[in-house]
Amino acid sequence: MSTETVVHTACPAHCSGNACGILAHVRDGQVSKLEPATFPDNRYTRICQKGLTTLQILYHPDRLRYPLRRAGARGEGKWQQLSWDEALDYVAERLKDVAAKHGRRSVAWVLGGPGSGTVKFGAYTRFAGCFQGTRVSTWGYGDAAGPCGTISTFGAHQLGDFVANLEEPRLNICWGTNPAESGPFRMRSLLDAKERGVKLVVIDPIFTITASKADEFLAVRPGTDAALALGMMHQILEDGLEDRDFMSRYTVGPYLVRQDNSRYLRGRDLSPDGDDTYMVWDMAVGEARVADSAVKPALEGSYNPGSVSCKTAFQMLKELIQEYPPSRAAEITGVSEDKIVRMARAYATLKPAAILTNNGLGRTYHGDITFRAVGTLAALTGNIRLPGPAGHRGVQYNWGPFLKPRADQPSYSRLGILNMYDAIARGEPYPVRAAWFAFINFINQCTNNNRILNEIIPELEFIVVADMFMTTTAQHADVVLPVCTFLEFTDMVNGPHPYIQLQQRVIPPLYESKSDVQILRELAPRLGFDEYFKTEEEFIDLLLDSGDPSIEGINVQRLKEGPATIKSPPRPTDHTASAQFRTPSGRIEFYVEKLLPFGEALPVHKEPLESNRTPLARKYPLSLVQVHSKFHVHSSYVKSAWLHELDTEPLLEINPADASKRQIQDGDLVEMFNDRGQVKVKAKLNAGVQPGVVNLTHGWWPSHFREGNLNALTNDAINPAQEAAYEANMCMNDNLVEVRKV
Amino acid sequence: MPRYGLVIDLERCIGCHACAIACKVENDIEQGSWMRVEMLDGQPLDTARGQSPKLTMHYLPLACMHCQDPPCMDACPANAIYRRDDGVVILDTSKCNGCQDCLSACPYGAILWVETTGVATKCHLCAHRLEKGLEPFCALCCETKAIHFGDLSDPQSRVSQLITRRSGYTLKLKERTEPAIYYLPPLNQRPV
Repeated sequence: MSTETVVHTACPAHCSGNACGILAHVRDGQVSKLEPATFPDNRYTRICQKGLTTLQILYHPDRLRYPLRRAGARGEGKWQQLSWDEALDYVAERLKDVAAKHGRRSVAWVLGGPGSGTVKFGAYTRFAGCFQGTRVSTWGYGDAAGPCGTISTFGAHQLGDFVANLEEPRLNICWGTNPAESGPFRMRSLLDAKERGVKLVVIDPIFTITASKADEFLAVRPGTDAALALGMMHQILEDGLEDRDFMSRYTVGPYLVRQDNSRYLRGRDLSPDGDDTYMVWDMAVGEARVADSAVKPALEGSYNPGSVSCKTAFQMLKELIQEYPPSRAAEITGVSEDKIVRMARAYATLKPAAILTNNGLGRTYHGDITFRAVGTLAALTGNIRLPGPAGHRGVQYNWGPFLKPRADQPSYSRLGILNMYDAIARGEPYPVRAAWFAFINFINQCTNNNRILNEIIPELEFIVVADMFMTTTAQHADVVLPVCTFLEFTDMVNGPHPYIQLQQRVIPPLYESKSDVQILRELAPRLGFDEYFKTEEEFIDLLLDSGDPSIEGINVQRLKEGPATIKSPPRPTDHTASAQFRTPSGRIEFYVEKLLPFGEALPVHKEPLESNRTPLARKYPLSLVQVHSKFHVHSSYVKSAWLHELDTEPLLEINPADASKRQIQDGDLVEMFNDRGQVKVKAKLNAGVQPGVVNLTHGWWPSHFREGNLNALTNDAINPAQEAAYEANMCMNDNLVEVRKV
Repeated sequence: MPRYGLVIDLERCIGCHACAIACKVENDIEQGSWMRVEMLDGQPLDTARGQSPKLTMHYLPLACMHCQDPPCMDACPANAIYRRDDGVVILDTSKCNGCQDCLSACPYGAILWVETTGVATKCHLCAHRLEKGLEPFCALCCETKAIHFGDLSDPQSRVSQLITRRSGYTLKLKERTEPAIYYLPPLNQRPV
């Protein structure tokens, strides 16, 4: 008689890093069924359409079974099967060769998001660190604009910590985020709030499923969100609904800015004994004072301390806002003036009002400014969750040993992924000659595919891909290492908040596949750093050994009993005295000195790089966006047969009016193209895509297209202002195209 | 006697198909599902109706309605379909003769023909789970909790109260089948 066992594990798919708990049923060594794990609070008992089909990935006939070494030309598809010993000996030898020839940092590890495994990610950074190679940061793989804008404004990575996680919000605004499709667990709380009477507003170029649940939908022209925020701020000032007290206490609003050099006025500018302190105009005494000592700092106005012409930062913001009356914002964004006015009033009066964002909002060339403008709007109205003295602290894991494994030598060099393009193609800022891609389908998912294929891949002397399938990237590798699915190895995952879960191995790896951590552990002795490599469970314990009281007592043994709750530090009841932002000024900075060289000290509206109001639009009039499909997690789960049954092929969504102009009917085969490349797909007419915009959900593999690939059309431009702030971001949603029937 | 049924809240349904896939998982359905998701207004799947910015898009999950008076039962010459005292309509595949009369008799398109085995199959509200006191798997796996399972004969049950409070309705009234699957209409938009 067959016996059934049930293992509690967790799905580490990359859904905003907030994993679902899973119960895996095992019968006769086979995983027979997945179901949602039960949590004490049943809001966390959840699974999604993708997670439910994981067995289709686990037992997929195309799973890679053995290590492979290229036996023909790159991409030719000829492979020689190797034993693990042969494969790892060869990899070690080639990595050493490349390092000897071009330097250690010419060997790069390119990793997907940490949401796809915690110690898996850590093991790779530790490996890159021991090797003193390059770790390619993949924030810039579409997710860097939020951190760029939020670090500048709030001194932290996640805008949501400040503007979304408000207690009992009276209004929810989903700004460029579509949780109904890209993170359905987040949709449940929005629907719960709607039932309690909390209205939902959605701002998006596409009428998404989230938008279909909204009380108000604002169809914004792609990449013009900063103008929308400025228009709302204009109305707020017009109505006197701004929170002046908040602006005075927590933002750089009262700080004086020199009009001669646009920099903040500092103590040393007025007196030789002065220092770097920011200065304000103290109305109590009618002169400039050090910010902290002023009795009545002026929030607005122009002043001349020591005959230096100055304005308060708020005054400068106000003058920018004055250029954006709702009528002008409407003209720029395509949202009606009436809606902008009503939305501004609602956001400023239904306090606390939350704004939910995610990374899609930042995938335009000036996506960082978008985040800054939204953050400034929140600050203007005081719709901010104040941090404590240590900021909005999440769990502090013991990352040190993973980021800098050896005290006796430097660790890896860090390179943003867009900078890696130039490092490989042009040797700038230094040459990268070998790349190891793990849990990332680089060629498929990154922008400007044809440049990757023509200028980047050929320049790499050695390519390793660790994956479950022969992805587009794996097809171009020199060595392909078969890794297992999350059901075949142990890791630890965050979530659902406030829990930490063990992603517990359910069955041993199938075929000859191994976990990434195991692969690195077996490779390490070949490169002389075996002492730094441990089992997955030992790595989890190392990561948890941070001394952070919020995870005290949590270790692998404890996690095997079930999800552990993160103890939140007691929140001070009165934040007002202790709120601290990790910006240069310690305040919310809507005026950012280091962005002066780019003309972006204030969150100015700038047209997207490939705006449909530029001359390029005469040739390519349509703005391409890439909505994240409810049937994929990026490019994974595309191979799930059950999902494929529901979502059979990529479709180019186009507004019926734009389709009609091009004699395109629903289901017609069309070509989408620009100077960079082309892709052929069937057209789908959808009034939910506004005129002038086309949508193709991201994540499809080239084999799904009739011809070409989606990211053949996308640009790989680097925005230097983003580099100055944090890291340049890919702009998958800032590309002009044309579509024709074929 | 209870009358088991589902109340599906179209306000909460996000058209994710988790119910349809959950049904496949729980009932080992290789091709298709006993639960399927269509659009409430009949337009092509995942498209909006209307013109920007006045657009709507509502989903409609459909399964066996577990009718009080099931046309499929009357149509089945093999007596393979029966209605239990608790209202669950069962298709006994071991008795199915493959005639497919039930497929054309069902006004809701709820019966799934399985090509490989040559028999008709359909939703049984996860009868095997009900025996253990568990809710149907689609209801458990619904991410937004749009699917409520319960006893429609009990006026105090959550499902009955939802029907009353939210004006729950059944599909194809004219067929007089008296379904046990109720729908709660989407809420009207409330401008800010």
